[in-house]
Amino acid sequence: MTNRYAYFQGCAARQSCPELNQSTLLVAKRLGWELITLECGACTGARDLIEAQPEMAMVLNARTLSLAESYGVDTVMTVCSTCTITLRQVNKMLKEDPAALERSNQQLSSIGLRYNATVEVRHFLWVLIADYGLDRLKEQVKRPLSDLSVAPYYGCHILRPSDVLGFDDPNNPRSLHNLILALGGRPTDFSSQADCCGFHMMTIDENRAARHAGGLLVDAQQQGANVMVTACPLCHISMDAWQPKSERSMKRTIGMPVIHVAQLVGLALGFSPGELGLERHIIRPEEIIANYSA
Amino acid sequence: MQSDILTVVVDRYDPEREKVPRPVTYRVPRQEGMVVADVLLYLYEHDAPDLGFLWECRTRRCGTCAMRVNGHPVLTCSEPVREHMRLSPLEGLPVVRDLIVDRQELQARLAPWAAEALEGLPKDARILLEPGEIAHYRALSECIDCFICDSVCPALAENANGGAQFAGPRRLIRLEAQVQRRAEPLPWLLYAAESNPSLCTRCFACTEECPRELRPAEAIGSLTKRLYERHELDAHKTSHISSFLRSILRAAWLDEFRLLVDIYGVVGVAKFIPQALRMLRRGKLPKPHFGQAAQSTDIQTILRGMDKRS
Amino acid sequence: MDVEILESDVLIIGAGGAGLRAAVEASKRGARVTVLSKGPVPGGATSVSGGVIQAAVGPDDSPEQHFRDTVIGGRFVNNQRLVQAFVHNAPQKVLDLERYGCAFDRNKDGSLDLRMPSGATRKRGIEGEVNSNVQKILAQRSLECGARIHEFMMVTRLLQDDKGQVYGATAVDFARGSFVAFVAGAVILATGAAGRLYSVTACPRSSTGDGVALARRVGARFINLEMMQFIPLAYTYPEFIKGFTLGEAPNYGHHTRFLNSKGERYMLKYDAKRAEYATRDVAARAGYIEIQEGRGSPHGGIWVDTSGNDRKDGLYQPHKLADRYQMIVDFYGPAKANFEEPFEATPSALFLIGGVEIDTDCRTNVPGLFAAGEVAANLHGANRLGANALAEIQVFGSIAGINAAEASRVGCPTPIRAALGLQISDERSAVLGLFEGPGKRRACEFKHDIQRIMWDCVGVVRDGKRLQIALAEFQRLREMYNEVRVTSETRRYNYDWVEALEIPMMLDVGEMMAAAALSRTESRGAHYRTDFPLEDDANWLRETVVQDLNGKLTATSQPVDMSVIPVAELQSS
Repeated sequence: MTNRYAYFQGCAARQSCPELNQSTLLVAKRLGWELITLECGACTGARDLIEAQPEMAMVLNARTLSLAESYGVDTVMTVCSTCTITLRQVNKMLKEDPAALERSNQQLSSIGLRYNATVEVRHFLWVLIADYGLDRLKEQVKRPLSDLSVAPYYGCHILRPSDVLGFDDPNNPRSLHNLILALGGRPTDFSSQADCCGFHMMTIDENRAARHAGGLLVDAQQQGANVMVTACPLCHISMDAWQPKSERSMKRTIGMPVIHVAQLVGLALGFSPGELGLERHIIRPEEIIANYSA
Repeated sequence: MQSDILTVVVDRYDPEREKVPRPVTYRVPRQEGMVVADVLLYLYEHDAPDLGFLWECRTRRCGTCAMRVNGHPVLTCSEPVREHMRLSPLEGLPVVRDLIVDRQELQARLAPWAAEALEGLPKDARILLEPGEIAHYRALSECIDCFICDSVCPALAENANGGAQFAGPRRLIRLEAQVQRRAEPLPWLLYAAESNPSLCTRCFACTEECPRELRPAEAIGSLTKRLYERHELDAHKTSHISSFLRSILRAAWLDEFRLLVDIYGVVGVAKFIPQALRMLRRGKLPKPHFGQAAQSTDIQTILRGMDKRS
Repeated sequence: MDVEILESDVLIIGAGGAGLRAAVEASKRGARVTVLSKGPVPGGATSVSGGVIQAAVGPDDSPEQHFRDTVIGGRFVNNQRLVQAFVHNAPQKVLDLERYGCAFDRNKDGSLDLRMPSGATRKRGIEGEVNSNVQKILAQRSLECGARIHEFMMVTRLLQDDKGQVYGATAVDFARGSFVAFVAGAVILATGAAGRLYSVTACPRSSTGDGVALARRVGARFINLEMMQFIPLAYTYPEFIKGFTLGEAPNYGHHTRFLNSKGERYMLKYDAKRAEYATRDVAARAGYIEIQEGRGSPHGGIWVDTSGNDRKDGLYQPHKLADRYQMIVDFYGPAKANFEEPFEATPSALFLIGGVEIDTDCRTNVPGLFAAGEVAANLHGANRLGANALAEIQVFGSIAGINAAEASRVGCPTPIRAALGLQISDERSAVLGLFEGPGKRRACEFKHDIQRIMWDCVGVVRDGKRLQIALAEFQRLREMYNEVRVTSETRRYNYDWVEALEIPMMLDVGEMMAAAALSRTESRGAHYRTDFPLEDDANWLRETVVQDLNGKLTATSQPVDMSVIPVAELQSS
């Protein structure tokens, strides 16, 4: 099985979540993956473009997919759930609707590109589980996460709608759960683990979004989690960068550290918190930084 | 080995007499091919004659039989039984009694816009479509008002905390169906705008759970597009969309910094300063982009002439 | 205690296709309209009906041909004046639905994509909009015209003045648990189906034929109540879905076989020429007899063997009738849905062919009372063609709405309104009295009894002896009725209470159907008697007439209206 992937960073990993990018690169290298970063890619347009200007979103993302295809890979690896759903939606349409593919290629031809609809779009978490394998990953673990009760937070865009995503069952997702176990940690299920974090509402109604995200953090905390892991940097922004907002909105202290999947894996593989950018978080994972620095 | 007896826990509840639901356990003999509606009928005829539940058509068309089975919202007329089941009413909706939730009056369900949007129009103009208006998009009028989408909607749940009220996926998908069939959809679009479609969090729970696979989340996206094209979408969302587009055309990637300025204005963005400082200290503050990205010309080329907004 | 009295110009009882079409037409003409639905909307038989509607719109078709097909299909005892009005109005009234927002199948050149309904000789089946959508669209249009539609309203009685004119109705609002009265200038009965009188039926929960009982009690005349249409194929299990339609042999392809428990193709005995492709009544009867005589399948049906069919010819496939295909997958499993295994099917009660007598203006013999749709008669004669009912409701729903709006301009005079008060309070006592009472028997037990009697004695195969037994049983149940007791105190969505209200009505209807069946001493179309197994044109080109005159049920007959084409001419063609 090939371990060569086109790597689509997305906007958050390039800007407000640089720690996500740095830990992804470290982990991939350790596991022997070859990542070809799509520097010349572009924002997927998130939900905004695909709703309001669907043809533009189609062509824009067809370009990204064709760039990946030109490297001869069969997978575009994403690290953000919103990038994943958007790219997969466009890719699905291009694969199923020949007229859409034709329209896209007509636009792409003006810059000398063509998409043949041969790549798949998969999240880092899926690649890790399906391609690398959790049993193999277990063997690579240098420091089992035995002191961590990790809340597996899925959010929406990596699960729903299941006919676009299809890796996990939205009503009973297990991928993060199994990953945490493989890394020696204790997964603490909580009832809102597949609920929306409210990120896409943040600029529309701040209080609403903050209250919503806060509720999820508190739920996880009440189930005994001392850290939360998330597969999406937008969820991360909601729950980490804006956690102080949630605390204000709900008038209570939360103090739950939230980390990325790649950072969780990196810790178990033996990378230091510093290398993984854990010091960048707004809610500093003090205990992890203390216990894993040696 | 399948058991001959099903264990069914039902959340019995009469709000007129009790404060909270009380779970009651029943045992029901299993039949071949049994669906949950069979269980309810059995309970009604035997152990629970006053059990409150609804059904009518048996064929997933009337929308009255929806409830949660083991926490998951389904239509009981076609839901296979499990050996252990917990039956509870749909979440987040006012409970009338036992497993029956308030499905509202027919007018509120089917034509909530009737009074406002149609006032002053002569009767024929209200009801008769012109030949060109008949769209072959039957799927959206197939919404059966089962309320499952509304029951899983986090944005609708937030309404209870006050502030702007979200109309919910059910009402919005009905509006989208109306709009699709009309050559002049403006009254319905304006009604849709007032239903605050931008409060949808785009979580796709509604699309995932719709028992008729009607995709309400995508319908909300479509309404958003129509409003955006006609310059009727709310200011926040409009500037959000426009900012994304401008960023992409100029810098390929989203300029998060500019996004906030575009939405909140230079003065408004000042409230983010404490947070920005925090992020700056951690090295997470997004930097504003200057000049064009290398690939911007390519992007501008392929997107040229594709803007559907006037 | 004061009873809430709600007023309108036109009161429509029933929110199926006929009731709602009437609501649209009446509202358009400025009448204030109130519609009462016993169940939810969509609901009732309209909501589960297929989607093909017959109207003579094709280039090679004509109302005259539609007329012929309908009367020949009805075995010549249709009221020809009604058929005439029907076939001439059907094209316009059905295509009006497009202007209301229904989307019919049209070819690229804009012409309608027409089907051939079974029993028709021309392609005149308009298709595309499943009927629950039509119902919603009509409901929406009438709401947009200002009509009011109330769900979960069980009408218990029609209100009359001392001259017998109907001026409204009383009802139980069982969503809220209150008793309400409605007063109007004109009333339209559009209560639809009666399948729930039988233990095996395709009809939804609400279809207990209440309208027939309501009209009986104000002295209406009923035509051909012995005519009840049964379909040959319906689900046999599980209990909840038992009776719902599984279509007909042609729906599965060209080589569908019906087998009894001995593996015999029994249809060859009953109809050697057409076998499994015989008309519904013949196939239903054959299946019923096989089952009765002990050659049925494990769940009380017969076997449908689709193995000889080419799947792409089957209508019940995901790409054609996705819903119906999915139902077979859900209830019987994918192997049976995909023609890999045979499945069981039972005959089932579908459609009330007879009903309240109307003229071409939808007037009944009771002043102030109009009727339209399935509850009215006599459009179909002894057997209904498929897809004619969905056109019937549009044509007569519309006619009733227009005429009721006109008739209601006079309104309900004030002294009469005052006089209705006694009827209202009497009815209220009776209805609420069901919560008291010494008895312990549940209404659902009574209901099962009635359904069993109807299925065994007034069902697919009848004879004089069993019909008499039915009448005696109904009398016995009437006397036992004071044993009924509503088990719960709650007034909201208390179906124990609703069923207790249904029982006397079901007894009223069942009794009339048995009496009509007894009086027709021949077999014709859907009515089959082993003691009179042949069609008797010499004596029976007639309609049966049943009427309750002050508590006494009379059963007579009258000649069929043959004013358009003499039957002899039709029979020779």
